[in-house]
Amino acid sequence: MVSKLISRKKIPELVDAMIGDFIVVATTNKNNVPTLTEISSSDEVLFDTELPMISIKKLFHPAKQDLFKFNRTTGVIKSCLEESDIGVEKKIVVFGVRPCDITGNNVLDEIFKEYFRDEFYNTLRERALIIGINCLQPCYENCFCESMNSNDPKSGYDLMLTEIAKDNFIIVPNTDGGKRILRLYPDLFQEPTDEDFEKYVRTLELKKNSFKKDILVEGLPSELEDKFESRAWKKYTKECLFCGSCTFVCPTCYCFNVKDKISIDLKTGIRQREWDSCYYPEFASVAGGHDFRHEKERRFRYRYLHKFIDIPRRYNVEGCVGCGRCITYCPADIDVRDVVEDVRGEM
Amino acid sequence: MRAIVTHDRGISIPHEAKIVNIRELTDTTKLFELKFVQNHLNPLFEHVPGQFVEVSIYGIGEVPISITSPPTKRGSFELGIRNVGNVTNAIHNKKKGDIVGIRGPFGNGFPIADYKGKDLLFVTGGLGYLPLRSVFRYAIDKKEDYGKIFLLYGDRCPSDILFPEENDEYEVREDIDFQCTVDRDDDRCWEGNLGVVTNLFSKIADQIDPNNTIAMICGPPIMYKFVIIELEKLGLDGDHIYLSLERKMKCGVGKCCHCGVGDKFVCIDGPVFTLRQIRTLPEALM
Ligand SMILES: Cc1cc2nc3c(=O)[nH]c(=O)nc-3n(C[C@H](O)[C@H](O)[C@H](O)COP(=O)(O)OP(=O)(O)OC[C@H]3O[C@@H](n4cnc5c(N)ncnc54)[C@H](O)[C@@H]3O)c2cc1C
Ligand code: SF4
Ligand code: SF4
Ligand code: FES
Repeated sequence: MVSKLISRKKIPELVDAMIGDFIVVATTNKNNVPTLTEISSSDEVLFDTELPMISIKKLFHPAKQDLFKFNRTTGVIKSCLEESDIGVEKKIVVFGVRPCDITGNNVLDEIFKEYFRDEFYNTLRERALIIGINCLQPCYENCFCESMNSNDPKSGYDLMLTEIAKDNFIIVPNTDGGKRILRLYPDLFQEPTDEDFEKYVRTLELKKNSFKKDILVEGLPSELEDKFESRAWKKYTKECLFCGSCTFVCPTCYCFNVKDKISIDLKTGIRQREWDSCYYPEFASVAGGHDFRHEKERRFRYRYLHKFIDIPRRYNVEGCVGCGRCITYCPADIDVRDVVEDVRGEM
Repeated sequence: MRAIVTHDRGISIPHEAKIVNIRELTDTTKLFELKFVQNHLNPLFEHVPGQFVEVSIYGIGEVPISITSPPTKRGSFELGIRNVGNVTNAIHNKKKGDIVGIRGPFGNGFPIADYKGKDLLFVTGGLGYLPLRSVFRYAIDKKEDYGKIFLLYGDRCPSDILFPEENDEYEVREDIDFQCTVDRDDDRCWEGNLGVVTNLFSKIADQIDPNNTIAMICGPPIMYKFVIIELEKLGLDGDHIYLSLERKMKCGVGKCCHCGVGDKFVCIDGPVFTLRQIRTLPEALM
């Protein structure tokens, strides 16, 4: 069996060893909120902690991405993929990613390769190895990953750590990249015994019983479709501030705007894309003043329908992974679970 | 057919094209003829009528513009552009010989090649004429492949009428039924029809065979509702009515989400949809 055993006290050693060979990104306390950042020592890592404010989406689809440099009269000078650090050979290891965020990023993987392969997202994504850390119980009150079937991803990670007994973890590879990491540091791992495997199996069974479903997603798309005119949309539209926070912290929100910035020499410039939000008024408005989603209610509703109807239908994956971030960071205390239940509950 | 020649450096990176000709169509609309600077791209560039390209004015931005020349025109292509905002204004300031960026062609286009032998009914209003021109000029160039061609065109006023000299040609042809109308004629210089485009249906109604006719529509959002009513009165099936939708676009390739309508993206699943498809998409027509 290729899985290994690692003790809790060896985990910092593993992280420090990887820092020698990879760019390592983990959740730290930078800016006093849990934040994914590149680390230079295992001391910075918040190991048993809540979700980072922004998921791993920011590593592959950054809030701002330079696309290319141009000369205003002669055109493209160079794609930004060809320069800067994006092109470097060194792999990134993202350490300690929760199952819901792995599942959430699988949604972005689908979107950024559909029809046309987005060169920026995919180059960054292909360069990353993801080490997941299994959740054995809901991590906080806003989590509803079980409802969204997101806490047991089958793909989208390279290694998964599961704590099978106090201070011992089974580490299971899911890809060749994961196996390579295990082979790189043989001294840090032990061979698991039969007893360890039994514990692992039991742990996973216990895990199943520790989660309950808050909402039922079976049949949800067609139910929401029928409730297109529900009064509940109006009620929540009134409460919403349209600040866009929920979209920025959501691991499956990805929409962006594209802008040209002219340099100080006035001759050259750079085209950039940056995160946008379908909650902003200009999102669907076109030249001449026509706005395809002018009423606030339409804007409010679109995000929900996109997550709970459109993404599942189009990509065959859940569009919400139940991470609860939009609940945590909403200044108006809007809870996605309440919205969905109120809408479907209305006669 | 989805011939994409312009993304070998990545889908976000345009290819340079040179403006080889500019013609003023109306006070606010110009026709630009373009050729790629890398000469080998020119013979490779193919499009389905109804597809669009993303046009970059470096330093200002990028906009979706339909290819208005038919696929039968090779070696260069034409864009008709109305000056309505930042990027389109910057395009209007460009001169012959200037460089713009091109990505595409994108979108599905009208499936005209699938309808050989059918009668074709084109309905267009305003700027919708430009995308549709690519389709009906293709059909006219391949007239032997198609039955009767009906072309109904409405615009705001006589001076907004696009390609009047080409329209005159259609007018005198036996095998094309061309009907044109304007909403108003303040200068009293117009001898043709007055009123909205739906008025023109009465002129062709008795010649339409609903079982052998494919309708293709492109115009402002407001026009669709009324045109659909007329087409249904004629007895056309929802699968035989094709409409091109307009939405805000930023990427053109199904990533930025600006053009989302239900579970479809207008840029990659459209811009052309059948009426039957549109009926299942919330907020598609308005
Ligand atoms: C599939 C398609 C085909 C089109 N074909 C033509 C054509 O053949 N001729 C023509 O004159 N116009 C066409 N348009 C409309 C044209 O794209 C807009 O007029 C243009 O984007 C306005 O940009 P602006 O910068 O001048 O205006 P601004 O108001 O400054 O717009 C700012 C930005 O918003 C976006 N935007 C604004 N309006 C639109 C719009 N109507 N559609 C999509 N994005 C928009 C663009 O990214 C634009 O850069 C087409 C639009 C679509 C979606
Ligand atoms: S975070 Fe809350 S208030 Fe802000 S846009 Fe989202 S739902 Fe509305
Ligand atoms: S909608 Fe809310 S709960 Fe669902 S994935 Fe996005 S942030 Fe998490
Ligand atoms: S224009 Fe970006 S998704 Fe359609």
